[in-house]
Amino acid sequence: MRAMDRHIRWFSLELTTIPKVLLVLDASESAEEYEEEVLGLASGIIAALPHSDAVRAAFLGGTELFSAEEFSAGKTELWKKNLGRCSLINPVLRAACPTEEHRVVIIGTGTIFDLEDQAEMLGHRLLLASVGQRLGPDEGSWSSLTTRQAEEVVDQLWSRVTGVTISGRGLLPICWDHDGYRLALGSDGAALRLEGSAEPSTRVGFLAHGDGPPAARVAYADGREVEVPLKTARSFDRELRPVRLFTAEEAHPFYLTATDGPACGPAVLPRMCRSAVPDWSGFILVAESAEGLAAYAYPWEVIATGPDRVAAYQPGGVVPIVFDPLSRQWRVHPEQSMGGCLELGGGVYGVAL
Amino acid sequence: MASPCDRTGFPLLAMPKLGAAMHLLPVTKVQFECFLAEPCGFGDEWYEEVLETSWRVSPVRATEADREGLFMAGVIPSEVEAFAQWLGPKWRVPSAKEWRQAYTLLKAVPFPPDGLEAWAVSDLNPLAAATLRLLAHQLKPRTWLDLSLMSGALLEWVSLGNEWGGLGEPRPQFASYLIDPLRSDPIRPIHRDRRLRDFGMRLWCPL
Repeated sequence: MRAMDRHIRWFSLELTTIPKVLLVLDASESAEEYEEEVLGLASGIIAALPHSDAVRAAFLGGTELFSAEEFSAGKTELWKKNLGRCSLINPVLRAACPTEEHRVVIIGTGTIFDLEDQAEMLGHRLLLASVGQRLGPDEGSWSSLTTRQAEEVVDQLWSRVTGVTISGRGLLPICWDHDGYRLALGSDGAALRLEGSAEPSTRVGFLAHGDGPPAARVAYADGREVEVPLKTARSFDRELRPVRLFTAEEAHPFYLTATDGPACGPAVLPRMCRSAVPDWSGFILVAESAEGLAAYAYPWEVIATGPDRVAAYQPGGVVPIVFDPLSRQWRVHPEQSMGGCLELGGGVYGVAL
Repeated sequence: MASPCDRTGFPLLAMPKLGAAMHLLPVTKVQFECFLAEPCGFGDEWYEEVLETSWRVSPVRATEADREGLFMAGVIPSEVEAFAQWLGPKWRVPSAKEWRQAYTLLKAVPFPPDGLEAWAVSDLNPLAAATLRLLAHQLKPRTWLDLSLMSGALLEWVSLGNEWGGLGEPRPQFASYLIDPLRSDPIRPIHRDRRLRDFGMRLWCPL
């Protein structure tokens, strides 16, 4: 694997899609009857946001700020403690000092008396989520909606990423630090694909036959598709998890010993590895070492077998992918079969389980 | 003349000659709202009732024509006392004599060109800063009295022994009173518990 490192170029996708959120709850006289709705909506929003550590909660009129964890653990008590404060936003904002990164969401019912004082400062970053009566005039730089559905509020807070496709001419993703991405093989080459609303930032190592940087095609819930170039990055630590095959003293059911070396047993290695790690799906790297055979779990779907040839692990088989110098693309090579034990060079074997 | 702020972050005037500090401006709605923001206080319904008497004007929107709406008015003496108590144990409404002494003192002190800079480094509420900037721009004060709006805004509650009255000099377009704040008797409302849009407050604290 290390021999291939000089062919790998590293890039990162950095998307800051999640805003910091200040949830301001209305526990005023006018909202007293709406405890369930206000707390329910706030809890729903916290649950629907991918990063609850970017959320702070407060109460209209109050100056105390609570983490999402503190709020979730004691929301009923906090409600009681703040009950009867007037519907005022100034004290909260004076304590919270929201920055440009923050979205402020007020959840409640009935007029907020001092909303106009902050309208200019907050502008479009303010969202009024009413569970009953309007919180302020409809006209204004803020957004407002009447709802008890957290998803409706979250959709207004930020447009969720629904999918990311990372690709680049002549580039093949070979390892990445985000479990959600999967290698996608198509007629136009190989790409790395993420589906769903997980945080999309990742760092990727590409086996490179091209100079141009890769780009990410990012699809948002509101229908937009945006192309984001990846930035050059440092490689990440690729320590592999050791797998214990057997020791020299142990008798082995396949009659291999440490001194036999891996080359003697391409037919046997897969059975030996399966026996050692019965639940593993993917590649196991087997190499000779001073102590005997060493095996490591390789947690990526793609393994390089040469500078212009890789094997991609797919459920039910290993697919060969080769670099086509004419089209400058990586392509699946249907004619070239690839067994479950791949010779990677340098006495290293990749065993696909 | 500069002094620190009260607990709401609104500025005070220290008057060592009188042994007291006083709010530079009539108590504003933003200032009173800091008190209303406390739990289990007067509540939304109460404030809505007050605002029906004295509309609220935001310090970021106030114009010369409606600036009286910045200040807390329509509160009755018991409510003024509750606010004073919340502000601190020594806070109270000034007596008519104290109010007039302050008026006379401030009239004699010129307002320096950089008069607002005194609060630039203290813990000034940003909305107090906005209010001060707005008023300084509109009033172009020559004395501290001009900026203080002891003349030109509301009648302010003063204590008259066991009674309460109002001293001040509202603008004629806001309220018609023929009153000389230094010589006329304070205005005594017929119904002490009725909300009056002309009656505001400015509180006093011994140094």
